[in-house]
Amino acid sequence: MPAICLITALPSEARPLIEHFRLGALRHKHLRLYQGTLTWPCSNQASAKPTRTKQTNANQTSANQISKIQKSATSKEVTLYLLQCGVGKLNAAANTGAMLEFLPSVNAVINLGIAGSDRPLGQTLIAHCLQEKASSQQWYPHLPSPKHIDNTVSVKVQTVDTPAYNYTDDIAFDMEASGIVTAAAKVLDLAFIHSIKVVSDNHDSAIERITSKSIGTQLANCIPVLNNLMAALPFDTLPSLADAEELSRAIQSRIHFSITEQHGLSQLLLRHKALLGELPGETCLLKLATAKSIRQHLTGKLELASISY
Amino acid sequence: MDTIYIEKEVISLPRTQAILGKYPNARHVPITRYTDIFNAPAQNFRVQKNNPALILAKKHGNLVLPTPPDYHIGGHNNYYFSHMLNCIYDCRYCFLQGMYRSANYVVFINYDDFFKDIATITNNNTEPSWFFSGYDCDSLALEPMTHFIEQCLDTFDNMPKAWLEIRTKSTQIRNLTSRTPIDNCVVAYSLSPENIAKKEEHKTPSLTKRISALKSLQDQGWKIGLRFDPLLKAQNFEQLYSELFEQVFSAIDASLVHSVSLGPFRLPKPFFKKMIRLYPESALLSANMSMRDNMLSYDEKTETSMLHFCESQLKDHIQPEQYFPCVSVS
Repeated sequence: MPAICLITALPSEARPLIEHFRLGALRHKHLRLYQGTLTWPCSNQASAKPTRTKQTNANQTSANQISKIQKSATSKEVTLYLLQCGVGKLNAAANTGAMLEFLPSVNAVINLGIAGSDRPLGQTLIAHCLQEKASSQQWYPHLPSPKHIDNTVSVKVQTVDTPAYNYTDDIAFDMEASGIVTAAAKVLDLAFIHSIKVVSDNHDSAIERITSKSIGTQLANCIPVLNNLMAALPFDTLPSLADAEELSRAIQSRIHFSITEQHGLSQLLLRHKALLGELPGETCLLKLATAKSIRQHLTGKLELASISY
Repeated sequence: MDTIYIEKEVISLPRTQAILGKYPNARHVPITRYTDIFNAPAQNFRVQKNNPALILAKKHGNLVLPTPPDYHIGGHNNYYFSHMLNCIYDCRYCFLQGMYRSANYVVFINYDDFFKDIATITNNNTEPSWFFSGYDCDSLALEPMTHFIEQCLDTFDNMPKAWLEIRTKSTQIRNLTSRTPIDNCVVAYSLSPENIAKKEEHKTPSLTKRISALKSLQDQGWKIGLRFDPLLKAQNFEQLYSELFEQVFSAIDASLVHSVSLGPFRLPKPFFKKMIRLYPESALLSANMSMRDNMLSYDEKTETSMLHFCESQLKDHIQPEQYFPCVSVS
């Protein structure tokens, strides 16, 4: 089951998401984490839309609408986490790294938060480039098709150390995104690291006018885009390794394998499945009693295997 | 094409604007250099292949390079060039999957710089020079969008000492059939047995369509080449390949074929390791391989027997001077 972690900086950014997705607190000594489960219409993003057509205001989006999605005939479950990482890129990087260590099953992260840009207040934006201003280092998330995310406008999200006021319409200033991607890109690829921003300040509305309430309203407004982005994440394109890994674990729980032998076993199991169409029987392998004899048995079978077109 | 990254240096060029005009709904992202995104860390070829973006860029230097020593079809001066990186097709044996982290398509917009280098090399060599297109991409697959080959042919038409090989699996031949054939150009098709093409060459035109394109080109007077590359091991190998040769040579005039080559399946080890990580479910990549000359390939005995079988079959159709046993990566 895929696991997505939403990451916000402020409690006021986290709150509407926690309420909307009905997330519960997840106990951790240092991290502020929440957890829940969602069920999504499977792989066909277009089918997600009819369930949300009446969703004109995210404040009205209720658990009923989520349950409509949950009742979809073809659906996939997603574990949803939320990390509230605190303000600034260092907090963001440190907490994201710690979260990924604590939750190794997470295979996508989405940063949500407010940003300054020369665009209308409350407009939802998605990052096509994440840049740390101090170092100019940049990352390009591999975005889904615009039609899968409501043609949301994409901009460069530039992470600054102090608030910036030189607003333009092609950049959104934030304070965390580069920290999150720095940590997340160590373990995830850029098709699974995204940043959604809502315009909170611009030339006409100074940063000082931002309130906890306005942040909550703005973040709630970006939930439809978030839902579509989550549904469009390309989990289906990744190879399915779960059954081979499960068999490997089951064998290793009974028979000792060195680290090298563990890698070798995984490769042999995957080759067995690819060439012979199925994994070898667990009972049969366990009868062999040693790592070496299992390796020899599988290698012998694979040497005899051939492909027919 | 959903997303197009455009180098700022080429954004205002008419050729860039013409390509952008073909994708009115695409998201445009300005970039400084294509290397900022192409092959950057934390990218997954398989995931990107599902929804590749287009990158419009300028190639600086190394536009035309010498081929590996064994890569030729009779000429002494051999070079290759790639106006594009990556391919719209998804062949499971393709070395591009192991060479690049990114599956996005890069199109180099500065065609004239390629043509200038080709002219310089041709003028510097006393003997004819061969230029191979389609090493890092399929030469014709995106031709309706790029028009590169169309302009390339105009250049070669005026350079009789330069030979061009257009390597492809594509049936996008309108830009060829709509003009008079030129003598110094060979349109070479990569061909595999139908069942192998169906299973391993995803998104490619069927064998029948490729043969039909070959026939159209030959009928019109274009020189054609046949590239049976890579040869893939199968339990029913002899049946598959004898049927393939029968299909091909019953449709075209073998005596007019410019060149035929065979290529065994070989991959550099680092490429292979990446590919099997990307596609662990692939039977083709899971087959028994061995290391030889720093390449992963079928064991020597199997490879030799596959080559010998195909050579013996080809002898029934072509003359020895038409045959070039090309040994290259897949």
